[in-house]
Amino acid sequence: MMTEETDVLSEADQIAALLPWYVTGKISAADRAKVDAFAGRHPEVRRHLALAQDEADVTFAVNQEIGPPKAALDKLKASLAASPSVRLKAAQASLLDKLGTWLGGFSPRQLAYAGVAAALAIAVQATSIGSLMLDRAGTGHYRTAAGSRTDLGSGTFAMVAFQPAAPAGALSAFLSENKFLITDGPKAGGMFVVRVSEQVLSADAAAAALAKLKARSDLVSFASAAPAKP
Amino acid sequence: MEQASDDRALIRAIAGGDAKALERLFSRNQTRVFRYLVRVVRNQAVAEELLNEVFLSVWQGAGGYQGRSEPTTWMLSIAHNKAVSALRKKREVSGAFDEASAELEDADDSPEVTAQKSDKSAHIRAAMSGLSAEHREILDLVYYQEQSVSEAAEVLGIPEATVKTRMFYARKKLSELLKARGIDRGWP
Repeated sequence: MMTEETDVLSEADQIAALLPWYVTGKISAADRAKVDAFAGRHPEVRRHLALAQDEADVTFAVNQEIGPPKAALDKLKASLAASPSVRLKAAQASLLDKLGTWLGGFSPRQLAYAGVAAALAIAVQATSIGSLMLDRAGTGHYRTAAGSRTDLGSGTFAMVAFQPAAPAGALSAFLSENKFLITDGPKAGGMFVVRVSEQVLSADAAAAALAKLKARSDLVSFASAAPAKP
Repeated sequence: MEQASDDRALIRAIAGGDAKALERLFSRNQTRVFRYLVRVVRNQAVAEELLNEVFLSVWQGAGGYQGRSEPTTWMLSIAHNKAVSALRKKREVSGAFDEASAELEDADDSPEVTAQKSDKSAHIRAAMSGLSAEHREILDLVYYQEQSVSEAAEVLGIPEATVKTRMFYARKKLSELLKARGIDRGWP
């Protein structure tokens, strides 16, 4: 860092520093008032403003001469396609969107009667979502449910249905924030098993965890306690 | 304002994994971000690489965007960090960093500018090319990117008071460079 930036500027220099923002109009009311008051006492500030306007004009012209980047969008698309973590995020969002749309197409009665057929269809999707379950242990990496299943036998669990329109990013952030982990699902009716704690919680603590889920009605449409080993 | 709210909506969609939203955000903002990068690193090819990195970071970090700052300010702050990192690497590779001559051709040397030396704008342009990266950056952020004091502070990661003093010294240095070219602006 330049030592000059710790200097205390005189009043005239402070005004000179503000003139660029005065020229662009992106100046606070307080700073504008300072410049106006100073200019009232020092008419040369009007000429100094013209200098700042010249600088603005040249800066604008120089920037305008810079052409667009070459094939930049294609390059970005290629980078996205090549990045495993990026592919995973897109796949997660796409799957949740499809799941939400698919479930949203059923009335409650249809869902009840769809029983076996729906369960079969969901079972197929469960295989896919299983590969997207997040490792919430803090490593920041994804792992498959199959790879972690042996670790998930104990703890406190909830049965949860998510809002069809819940954005994947918000959902992921909410689960991560609370150290909740989707361990299984979707089951019939779009229910997921969510581990709310690695420990077997007391009734009060379990109820508090459920309350956290229910409080996010923008993301969660249903939540109830589940058996200890779903 | 409308652009900002549209960009906010796109960033929300990106946070939800919408790759098409990223493409739209990119199309709307690539030129201004690219110009910012070119002006700081003074190398077209490096700026193209950094532009790509900026929008990959947008894709990966959209969930963390709180909406407190303008989308443009947020994207420029990512671009600033990428540019600073690239310049730092360049210094490490090439030793001492000669800001006045290292990155790009000096505008003084181009035939076009030489032909226009009697023109005031050409003199200012040539003098600007002699400024340090930090001083060029603050001028661009304010005059072209139209960032306020607080927004520039956020982009650069420095206090607002430092933004103002940096601007003062950038303009003062510009006057000195112009004076060396025989142009006395009468300030400071």
